Amino acid sequence: MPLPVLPAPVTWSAGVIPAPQLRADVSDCVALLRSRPMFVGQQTTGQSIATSAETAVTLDAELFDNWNGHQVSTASSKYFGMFAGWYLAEGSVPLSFTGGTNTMSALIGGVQNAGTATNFGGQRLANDSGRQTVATAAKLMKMQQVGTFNGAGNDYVQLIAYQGTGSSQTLSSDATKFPYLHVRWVSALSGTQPLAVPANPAWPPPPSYITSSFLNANIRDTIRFLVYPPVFECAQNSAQSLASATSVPATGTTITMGSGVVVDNYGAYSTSTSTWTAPVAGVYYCYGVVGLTVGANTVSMGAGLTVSSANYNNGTAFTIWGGTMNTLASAVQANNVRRRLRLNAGDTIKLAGFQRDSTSAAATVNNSGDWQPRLIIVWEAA
Amino acid sequence: MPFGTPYLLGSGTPAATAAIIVTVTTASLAGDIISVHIGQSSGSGETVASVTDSAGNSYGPITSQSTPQPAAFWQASTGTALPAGGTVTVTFTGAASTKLIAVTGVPGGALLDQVNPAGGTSATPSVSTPAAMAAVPEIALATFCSANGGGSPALAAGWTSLALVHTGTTPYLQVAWKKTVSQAVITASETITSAAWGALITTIVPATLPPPQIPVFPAGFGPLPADFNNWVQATLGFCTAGLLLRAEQQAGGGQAITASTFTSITYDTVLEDPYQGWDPVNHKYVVPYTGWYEITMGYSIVSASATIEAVPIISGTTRYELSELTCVSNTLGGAGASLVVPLIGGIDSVRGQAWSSANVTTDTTAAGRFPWLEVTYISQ
Repeated sequence: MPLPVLPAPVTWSAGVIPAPQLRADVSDCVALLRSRPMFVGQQTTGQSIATSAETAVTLDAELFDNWNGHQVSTASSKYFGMFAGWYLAEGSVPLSFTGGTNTMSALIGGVQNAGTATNFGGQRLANDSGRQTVATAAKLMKMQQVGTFNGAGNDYVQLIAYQGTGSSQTLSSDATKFPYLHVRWVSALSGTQPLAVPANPAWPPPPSYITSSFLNANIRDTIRFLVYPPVFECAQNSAQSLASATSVPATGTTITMGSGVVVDNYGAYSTSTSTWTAPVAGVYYCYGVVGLTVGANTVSMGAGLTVSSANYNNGTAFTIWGGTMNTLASAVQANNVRRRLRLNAGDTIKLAGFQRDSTSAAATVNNSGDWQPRLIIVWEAA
Repeated sequence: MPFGTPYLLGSGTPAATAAIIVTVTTASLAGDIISVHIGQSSGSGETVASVTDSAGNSYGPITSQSTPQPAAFWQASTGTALPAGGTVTVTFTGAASTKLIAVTGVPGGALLDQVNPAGGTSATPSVSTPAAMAAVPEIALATFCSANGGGSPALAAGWTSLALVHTGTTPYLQVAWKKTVSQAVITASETITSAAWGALITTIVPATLPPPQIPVFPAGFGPLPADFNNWVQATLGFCTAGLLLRAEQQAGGGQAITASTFTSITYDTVLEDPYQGWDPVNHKYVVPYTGWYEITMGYSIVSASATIEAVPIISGTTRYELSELTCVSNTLGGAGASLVVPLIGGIDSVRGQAWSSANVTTDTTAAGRFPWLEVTYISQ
């Protein structure tokens, strides 16, 4: 079966309903969405990672790759975009730690729109001397230059590992603990908005008849919405100092994201209030990461999603925390949070941060580079 | 069609007659579940003999309360659309009692789940579901009939009135609905001046769709509405509605995690499970269809110095340790993981496990800290 294309549903007018048009619109949409471009891969080799170098993770075990954007034998760290769109990439990096004290981290890297290869940080954790610390990361990637595997200028995404122990370390290759990358298409790069969440009503029985407005609402606009749903990402680009708190609060300090919007196709984000407002109801994938340069006496830090919705906490705004972690003194640290949230139109989400310092010193929020705070939100279901 | 907001098709004028005809003012769509809510004045011993409508739907009795205040609930087992101007006829075994009728519709519903009647003489008519819900969410419909002396009823918070039928000195018939947010037993109640009342509660589970096949739209074929429903409504409907489970552990006190032991988290609150895959006894989710699913999970612990992992485990055997970090003793810690795996429908199950280097306790002290598990269908 040929690979599906991005449907461009027609505007219907009075007249016959041609079967080929229904195939081009509905069949192509279903074919795309039921098996969207996706890659799942892992590593089994225990790759050596040099100290203080962000290193692409080779993926020698390909678990799923329906668009053939990855090859084990060639450029095995990279998943090449074969179909244009926004992709959600999520990965984890386990470090088989053998000594030294520093941080380790997972990043999502790659090339977008034939630009410069860039890495985007996820968790950056303090090593644990007795354990195999595992960091996770997520990022929306804009695959615009696509279609040629390993082609010069073709966009790609890869998992990146980092560790700063002062000597090389290997990645874990246990049966249950291994480097892992998952990439999937979530939206077209452009489309029609705003649109209502599809209602998908039953088709009218006689003596009622099918009207062009019915077709436009329930085929054209439904497909347009589903291939171009609300998608949002913002990276912090304004200076901020995060005060120390003695305990994790019910409502965290908002990370003032500034104007670093990466994508916001429904215009849902306010740069002045650092608030994302749900444009339509539904279940949203929400991910946040907070990167800090902590002080010499900082002991823990974490990231959260401050949610204001009648669906949660009796409507009172509160912060869903990803949990906090131990920190390494005077180092860059990052922690993340991810949840799927059922939201009503008008509900809001803000990224929140937390850090505790034994001397009550503030930490500096990283507003540039690999460890910027980042908020990602993608509509997934009605 | 999304599992949507119930609506009132119409209500009848209260009368002491052997049959009440309700004229439909708001049309129902094909597939909507039509319910008929019935109240009567007491003492006659009359019951409902039949319910019919102008579209040919087939109705059956679901539950009723005979004393001290009669109430009954019938529902159509077919989903033929009932247009505005259509009629619903409720016939009784006699003409002595005053009858009150309201007809409602629920879009996107499937089967009945919970059914329960209640009755009494008091100022607080009340009825509860008899057991835990099968799915989350469900639509709950409550039918109250209270004697005229009770006055106009005030509905409890959280419930939305669909109809209040009453004229002169007749009893009051109130129909209300609520969308459930967990599997927990729910109670519908209203407040009146103490009087006789009867109350009924029913819950409806959402209709669910299988992952779609690609429709072929054969040329030269005279499709029926049902064909388009299969080709378009069901396929795009699944792409819209998705398939997911969301569960949390909210019980006070948290759960003890023994050091160096993979421990299944006992999620006690299901936030969303329209496909009814959740096993509340074993705290696991059995996926309904074969496909690739994303599993996301996480938890917080009460402050402790420990290294912890969030660990999805498939069918009790295949474990994925894809997150691990160290927490400190003076701040709550936590970890979260994400994974996409192929699962076999009806066979494979998903649990969330915790592992810790020291004895710890999961943190359920605040809404933002509840341990959570999500399973989302991603791809065929």
